Amino acid sequence: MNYFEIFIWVLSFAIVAFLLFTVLNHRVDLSFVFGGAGKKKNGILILGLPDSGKTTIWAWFRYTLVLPTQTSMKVNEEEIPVHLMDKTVNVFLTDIPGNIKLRHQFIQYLPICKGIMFVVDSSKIDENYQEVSEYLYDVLTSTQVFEQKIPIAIICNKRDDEKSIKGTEIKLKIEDELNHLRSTRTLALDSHDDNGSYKDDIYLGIQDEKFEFLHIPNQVAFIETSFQSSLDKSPVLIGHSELSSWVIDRLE
Amino acid sequence: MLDYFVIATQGGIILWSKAFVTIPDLPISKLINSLIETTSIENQRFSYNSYQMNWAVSNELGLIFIAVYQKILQLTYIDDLVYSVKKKFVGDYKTLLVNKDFFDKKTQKANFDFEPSFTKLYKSAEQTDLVSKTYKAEKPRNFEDSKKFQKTLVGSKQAIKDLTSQKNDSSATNSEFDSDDMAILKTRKKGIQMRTFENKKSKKTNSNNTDNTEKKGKSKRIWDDGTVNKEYMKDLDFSSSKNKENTTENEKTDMVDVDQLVDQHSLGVRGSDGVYQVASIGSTEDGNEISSDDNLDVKDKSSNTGWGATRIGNFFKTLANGKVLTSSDLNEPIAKMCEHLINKNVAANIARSIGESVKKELVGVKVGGMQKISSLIYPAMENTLRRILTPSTSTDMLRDIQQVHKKENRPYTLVFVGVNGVGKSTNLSKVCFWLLQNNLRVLIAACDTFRSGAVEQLRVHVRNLRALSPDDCKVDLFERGYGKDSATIAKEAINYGETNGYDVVLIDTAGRMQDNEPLMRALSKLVSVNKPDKIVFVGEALVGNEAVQQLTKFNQALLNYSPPNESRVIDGIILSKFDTIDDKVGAALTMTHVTGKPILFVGTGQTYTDLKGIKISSIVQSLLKD
Ligand SMILES: Nc1nc2c(ncn2[C@@H]2O[C@H](COP(=O)(O)OP(=O)(O)OP(=O)(O)O)[C@@H](O)[C@H]2O)c(=O)[nH]1
Ligand SMILES: Nc1nc2c(ncn2[C@@H]2O[C@H](COP(=O)(O)OP(=O)(O)OP(=O)(O)O)[C@@H](O)[C@H]2O)c(=O)[nH]1
Ligand SMILES: [Mg+2]
Ligand SMILES: [Mg+2]
Repeated sequence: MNYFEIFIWVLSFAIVAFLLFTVLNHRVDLSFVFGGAGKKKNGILILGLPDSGKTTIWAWFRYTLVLPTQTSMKVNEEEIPVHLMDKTVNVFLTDIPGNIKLRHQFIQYLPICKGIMFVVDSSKIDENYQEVSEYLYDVLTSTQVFEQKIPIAIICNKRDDEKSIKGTEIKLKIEDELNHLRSTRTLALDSHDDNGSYKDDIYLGIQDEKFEFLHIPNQVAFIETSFQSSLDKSPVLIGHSELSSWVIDRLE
Repeated sequence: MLDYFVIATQGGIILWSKAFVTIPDLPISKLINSLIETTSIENQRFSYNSYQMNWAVSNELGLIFIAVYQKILQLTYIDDLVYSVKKKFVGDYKTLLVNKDFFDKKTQKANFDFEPSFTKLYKSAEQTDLVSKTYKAEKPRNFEDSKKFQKTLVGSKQAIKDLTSQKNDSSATNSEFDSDDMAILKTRKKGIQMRTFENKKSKKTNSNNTDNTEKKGKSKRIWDDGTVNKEYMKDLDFSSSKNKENTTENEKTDMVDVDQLVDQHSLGVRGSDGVYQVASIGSTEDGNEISSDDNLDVKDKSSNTGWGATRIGNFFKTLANGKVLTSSDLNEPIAKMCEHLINKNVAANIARSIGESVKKELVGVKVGGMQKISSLIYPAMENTLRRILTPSTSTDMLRDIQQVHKKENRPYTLVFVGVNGVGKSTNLSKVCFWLLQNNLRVLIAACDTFRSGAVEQLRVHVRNLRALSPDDCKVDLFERGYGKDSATIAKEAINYGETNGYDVVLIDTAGRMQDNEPLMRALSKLVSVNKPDKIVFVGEALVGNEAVQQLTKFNQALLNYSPPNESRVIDGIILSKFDTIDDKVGAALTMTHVTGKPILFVGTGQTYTDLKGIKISSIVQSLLKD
């Protein structure tokens, strides 16, 4: 018995010493040791060009209110319970500012990401479809989105606006532009530290066929929405329950 | 007199706002974009069209406070107003704000009842201002005015007292306001200097001002009164001369800082053990590496990345949980960081301005858990570097060429500029090689009519390129010998290119020192005559502080010597001789910081395939690693 107790003491001392040693020397990820292990991947990202309505949508999930917003200079990120009917799911919802200098931050959030809402302003798509497609191209060809087939919802927002166009038309427009981009981007020069890895060579869709969303491994949904509640007009809410159910589907 | 005041989260959710008139969204979004894009904003005011904005941030709570008014009004009390509104709002609603308990779902309203407080602060700020102006007027013009004077004097004295006591309070405590105040005070001085300048300018527009009667209200009288204006200006001049003293003082302290850096270095405080180290390239690069670890927590990224974690960490002290970072906590580690950047060949003043901007971002941030200060600086630094290096326009040149071809059916034109011997002609040939690989038809215009051998050099390149490229490729040299006007040759080349179905015209120019005025003038003529699609500046990766001079002078010359409304600047950069610098990649940062323009390619050797795209994540890693 005594030996056993001594053995336990020595063992626990050894464990503590080992942990300390590893922590101090190799800096193991502490979240792995203390409770991080049970965490589920529950990230949903909201991406899109400036002024498309990302923060409005984020705030709607967070407060169930359509709130006034202005240009974002920081990420909005919180764990938020999403309800639909009798279901409730906790989502780590992140809204990345559309400013071109801040966009790249989305890559940091991909490891725990289960779905991406890509928000498009349906009333301005005629003017900015090129920029929209370029951003979307970068998202679709980032390694983790491609390899983990992270599902994408193209949110066609501001459908209340009379200049806005249908989701089906937006889809064709973007497919067309992605087709062009695919040809120019894959011909770009390799980067200076390219170490022979294939990641720069992701090819979207099928070679020698015109690009279609059907050809990529990611599920792509198109959802038309409106989050508009200004004082002078009557509020128009379109598609928010469809959006919630898309989110919940990603996490089940 | 204010048009709009808004209190919002930095994430973009408006918590409270008051509109005195309706204003468009554009000025606010312009302001925020410039806050994002410029790493060092000198003063807390910004103007867009007829709007002027002053702002303050609270990094601790992630808030921004913005006041918008008509620039023409030159309101002098807005700094104080923004400051006192911030103080009041943060003070009154601290717990709500910390818990992000902003809105009540049931009542559908925000949890702030800030209107009364705001009105009070606004009134008192306005009155303070009025009094200080009335004082300068010396003789109130009529009874009514003098009465107002009496009334407001009392109120404003109180207000002034309030303000000054607040300031004293905060400088005694160690809160965020401490450093923020200092920043505001400093910038206020700068602001005043600016105003002097504006005031002088506005003399001319004074007559127009009277048109604006309804908006002006009380201060209009003073505006109309010339003597007051003079008085006012004298005062401002005074403060600006004072300001000069101040800046020289600042400069002095800056110098001292640098000396310290150098000393520290030569003394070898950072021994072989005190170095910082960064996870090797690949572990975090672009996040593109697939992490098989499902538990990878986004929040832990910073601590995984090195610096904070590794040996230099011993040098930096650990901060207590919940501590709010002040500027004095940051001085030393930021100075270290600047030194590190300078060692990486980043121009010294650029390194310093980056340090300042990282500092600004961190002052007021609350430390969570037991964190080393370096583990806070590292990610902020990484983000800032990334932000500077990330281009703000598309760099997909093939796409641009396609577009020009499709929409205008003419060749896309590139002109290569730079000082002598940096690799303009060599890299032009490499770009040509790449274009030929992509089945584009290229015409090279020999517009270096200055250095002997320049045309022959290109002739050799063209012969090589023809031999090395696909059989059906089309590449030709357009030459007119030496001594002729390069702008004219370029023009002829472009016309020739257009009629003969070339897709791209590459224009080689003579190397020129940035101080050579006649040559710079000639370059600017070449640009304004030919309106190239892209002006590409070729610079050596080896260049240090000199890069700043080269780029600013080239840009300045392009601006100065071109017809109004047609001014151009450098559109993109080729960084040559990248193979000769190991990881001292600082020039990449310097050049993008100075111009705000992307690095289109890097030259990595002397053969045609030694032209690469730039990988921002790898540049950032190289800059950070030891
Ligand atoms: N008419 C209409 N306006 C909308 C809708 N959704 C958002 N908006 C408005 O669009 C503007 C931009 O919305 P934000 O949510 O701030 O846009 P964002 O995508 O977060 O923009 P950044 O932060 O700059 O990237 C705001 O003025 C919103 O009120 C909508 O469905 N209809
Ligand atoms: N190692 C290395 N050498 C380079 C690179 N680019 C150019 N060079 C060399 O730099 C030297 C000058 O190159 P040029 O292309 O003639 O330079 P330039 O700017 O046209 O010179 P001027 O026309 O005289 O102003 C040549 O010896 C090139 O081989 C590069 O990326 N790496
Ligand atoms: Mg936003
Ligand atoms: Mg040359």
